[in-house]
Amino acid sequence: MDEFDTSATNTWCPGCGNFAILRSFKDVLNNLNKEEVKKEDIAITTGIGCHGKIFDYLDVSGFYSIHGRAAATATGIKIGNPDLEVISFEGDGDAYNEGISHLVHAARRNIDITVLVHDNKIYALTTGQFTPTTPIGYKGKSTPKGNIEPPLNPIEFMIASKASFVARGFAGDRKHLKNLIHKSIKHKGFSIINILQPTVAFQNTWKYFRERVYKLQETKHDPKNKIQAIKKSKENEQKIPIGIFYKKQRKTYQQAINEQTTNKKQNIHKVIENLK
Amino acid sequence: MKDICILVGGKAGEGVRASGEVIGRALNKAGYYVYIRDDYPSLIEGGHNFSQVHASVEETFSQRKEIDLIGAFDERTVFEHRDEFKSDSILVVNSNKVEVDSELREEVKDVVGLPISDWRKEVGGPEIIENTGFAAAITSLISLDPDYLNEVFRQEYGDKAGINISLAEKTIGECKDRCKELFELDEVDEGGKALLSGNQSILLGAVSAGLDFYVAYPMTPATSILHFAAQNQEELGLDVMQPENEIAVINIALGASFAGKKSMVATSGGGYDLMQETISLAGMSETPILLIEAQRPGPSTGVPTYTSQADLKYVLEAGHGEFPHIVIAPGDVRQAFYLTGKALNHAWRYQTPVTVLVDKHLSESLKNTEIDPDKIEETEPKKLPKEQNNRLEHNKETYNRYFLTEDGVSPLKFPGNDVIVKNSSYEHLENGLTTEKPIEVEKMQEKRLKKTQKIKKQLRNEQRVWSKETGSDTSVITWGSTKGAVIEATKEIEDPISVIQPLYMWPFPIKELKNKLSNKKTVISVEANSTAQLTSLIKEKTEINIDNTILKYNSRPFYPKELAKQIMEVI
Repeated sequence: MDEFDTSATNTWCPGCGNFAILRSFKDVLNNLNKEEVKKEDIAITTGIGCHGKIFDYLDVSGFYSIHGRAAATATGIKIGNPDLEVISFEGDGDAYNEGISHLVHAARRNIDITVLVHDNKIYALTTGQFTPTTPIGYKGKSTPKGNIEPPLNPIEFMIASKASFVARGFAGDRKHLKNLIHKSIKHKGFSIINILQPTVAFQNTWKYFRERVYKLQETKHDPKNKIQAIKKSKENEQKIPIGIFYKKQRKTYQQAINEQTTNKKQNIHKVIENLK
Repeated sequence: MKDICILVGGKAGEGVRASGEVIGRALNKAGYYVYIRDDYPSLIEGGHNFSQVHASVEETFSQRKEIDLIGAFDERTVFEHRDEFKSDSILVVNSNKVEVDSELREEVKDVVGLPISDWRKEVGGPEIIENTGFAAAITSLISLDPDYLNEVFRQEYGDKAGINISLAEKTIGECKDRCKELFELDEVDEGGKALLSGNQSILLGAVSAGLDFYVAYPMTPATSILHFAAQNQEELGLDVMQPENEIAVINIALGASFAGKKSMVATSGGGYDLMQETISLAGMSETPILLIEAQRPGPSTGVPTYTSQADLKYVLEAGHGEFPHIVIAPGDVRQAFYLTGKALNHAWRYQTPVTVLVDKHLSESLKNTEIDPDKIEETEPKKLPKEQNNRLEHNKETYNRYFLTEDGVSPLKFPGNDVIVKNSSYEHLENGLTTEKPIEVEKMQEKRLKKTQKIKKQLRNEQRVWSKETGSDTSVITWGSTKGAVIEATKEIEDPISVIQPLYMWPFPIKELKNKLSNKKTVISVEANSTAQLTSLIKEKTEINIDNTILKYNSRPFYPKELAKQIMEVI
């Protein structure tokens, strides 16, 4: 029993990549605790789908939002209380289909939240339809003759959306993932990790990914180099890099607001006087 | 004379609206009651915009169509409003731009041609300030002390007021000599009332009740709340945000409410459509949120810059599932101020969505009134009993976000205060964790039902119906902004008929309406929609049939005289 466990029964399929994401996140929370980030100062949001169940498995504050909107909810929480560490869990359907606009604009405005996308490349809870990250040819109930839509490249897309921290993790490498999540939370500004999450019931990709992933940190990759990062993001067939693709420190949304509003002192009577 | 109707008109981009507002503000400072309606099509430059200013020694709730004094920036204004001129009207034109035919000169009392463009060039200002010239000419023709006008210029334009004051002085000096006869408004004591739009009033009411955060995506006619909030952000102590779309708007607002910030969003029908799923989320997660729906004519894009009252039944049914949703429909700027304050308080007291339903005519028209922020009390959300709170803060007990109470309302705490707070869109247990067990599902649905009952019971103490009782057995029933034209119309009718206006659409004031309607022989309902939505709501809730309906759905508001005529036909 971990201090972040809840009384909820876990209903993910045995062998699902979500377990590794949950475990890694709890490890990060324990580490943060040691760094004096109190458990109560964490707030999570979740979308709808298998990933969303993580809301029930974590004893931290949170808002179980609706499909696609978790990044918007997280934005509101951060603005409402900038002292909270806000982490938004989303599925690939949530993040890249239903709620893609929120992701783009949260990245662009550099709101200081962390988005963790459980990318299993499938709508699992609705029994296996294709998502924006599903490969061409995938046969599911809604695509019996095979998926014909080319997938989105989340890493390239998020770099183009001006995200200031873009990474890919793999549920099959928990140590690496834990480290990545920790860094993304510590990053001041918008951070996103697209986590490769094998989903045993529909596409058992454990072996596929294990054979292909390699760590960017073990190469000469420089995360400050945007062009190199985009080049690396296109490598996703024979070899799949994981780690931080791109990272740049820039002004957060909150910092920009604080610079603009220096004299916030309520005087409604003065405003009314001006209308007289 | 007791009142005067002024119209200024010209192209979009010429500062017509500002001209009307300056005239209205000067009259307000002098102590007159003022009502201003702006009419503008959906374009940026060109077209035909006009501003109707009604000033009176008595309180006025509506614009009037019959014009006493016209300021025509261009020829189209003369052409468009020719039907509204009277034999004793005075027409002021910029003689550098407008020629008036001799036929029209015969129709009105006087045509005052002023070379405003020449004078503007003399004082050396940009073309836009010619609107100031018109404001000066108009106010001088009603013998208003120029000090009031100059004060408005200083207030509105600050350091740049000098050029406006110079042009005004020039205009006023020349104007009176060129006019046969001036209007004389009866004298009144100096005012002290605020002249503001429904939208400004809404924001100020919400701020008075403790609003922290305003989020919106631009959509006419709600947009000016966003402008007013952004311009006065610091003095209103507000966070203001304009995100990517209305879905983001309400989800961001809900996130902030969850974090403890009192949040409000505003939009029109189309944006409200986009918010539906999250209104349901607010109902389920019991997250307080205040929404403003400023109606415009639909369906769909409709007639974007004009007015309508066709979203009543739709707003009452907003969001899927069953949850309490309070809907309030103020009818004038004063009601908008106090009822929006109440609306925000209701949202936080009952932890549920509340919608204030207005329309373009109320949102954007200006009226002067007295408002006092100190009269709006701020409601704090239900607190945990002290002992329990202590135990919670010392980690000896966990906080149940959805703790079951007698009235269904749970004590509310926020994340980041030494507690774990779990809000959920899923059906949940008291602690916020997901459940699908029938007994738990039923319990939570009953919790929300209890809140519904509690709201119905507690709001019985609120004034949920406004009325002007005259003892007559004839009454007009109306709602929202149409109340203004109805009040003014009754002034035109010799029999002193009563006016009834329900303020709360949910919970609906069934008993109050039954009482008020039971002793009336003739009831006429007046609404700006084509299906008599309030009338059918009354039928559904009270079983009272109202046979006489006066409906207008051409996207323009009612005018008192035409309405009075229609009412007279029924009586």
